Amino acid sequence: MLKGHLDNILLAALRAGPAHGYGLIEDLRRRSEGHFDLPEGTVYPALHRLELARLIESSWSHSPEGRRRRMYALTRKGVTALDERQSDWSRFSKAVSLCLDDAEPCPS
Amino acid sequence: MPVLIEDYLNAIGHKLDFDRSLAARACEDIEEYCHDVAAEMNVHPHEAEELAIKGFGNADLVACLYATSALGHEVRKTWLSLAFVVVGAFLAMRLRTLSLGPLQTGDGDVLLLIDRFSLAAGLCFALMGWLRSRTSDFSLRLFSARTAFDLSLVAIATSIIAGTMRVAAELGSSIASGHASIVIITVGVEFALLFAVHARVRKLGCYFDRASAAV
Repeated sequence: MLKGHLDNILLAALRAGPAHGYGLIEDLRRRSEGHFDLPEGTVYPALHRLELARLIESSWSHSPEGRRRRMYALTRKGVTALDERQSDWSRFSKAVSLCLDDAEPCPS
Repeated sequence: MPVLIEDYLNAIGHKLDFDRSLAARACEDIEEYCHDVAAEMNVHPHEAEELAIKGFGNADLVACLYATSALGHEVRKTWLSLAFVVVGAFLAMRLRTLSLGPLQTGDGDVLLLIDRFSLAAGLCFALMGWLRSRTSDFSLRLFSARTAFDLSLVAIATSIIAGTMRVAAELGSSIASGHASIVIITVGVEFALLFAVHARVRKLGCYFDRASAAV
């Protein structure tokens, strides 16, 4: 179920500011209170896909130890895409919630 | 580099050897993650490697996921390359016609039909491949897009060969009229484009092969 939303979750995580891959995984794990324990093997390729789609961009930075790190940041196109997807998701989740919450037994 | 992670990265590099930049990207990501684990979790580098390998999964799966992540981008590039070759072949044909004038009738009529029809078909198949790759059914997408791109390449090659056969008959008279260089250059450019796009379609085939293993 999460698979279809991975791109959106990663874009949303980058709205707060640039981050590196490991930081994103940890941030999502923390923000979802442990629900999204994303395997690294799916997150990094997804970041690459988003970069190829020009929704995010990467640049090299240096860690406190002086090691090179790839930092990811939202592009303008990514911000627009995220706004649209958030709006779609809000409508969708609201509709599903309405159906689930107000479900009444069928009249016999 | 320690042996454990080196073997793992070599295996991934081998599976993605059709695209060195993709293989390098995958290896960079894994190495970076490995260093991050060692630094953030304060574990021994050897343990960090084990955690990285466990987190990313087996080399086959990692290669599949990276190939899948770049597949859409590669499909778009291939479709644009095929369209570019069609335009290039068309311009070469027009340039020859302008220089040599209308070619003689006879077998040339049949070749002309093959030339034009194949070129149009090549463009249609390329467009079909690109559109197919955007359908939601992934298994259908893999089969149909790949077939459409292969057919597009065959159609474009047929067009270029038919066009070359048409002008080959005229080469003698074109040498006499001083237009031989136009013929040779345009045919040379067409074949160069054909070989380049052939390499691109083959590369895309490798992407499909690797990505289909992840479905």
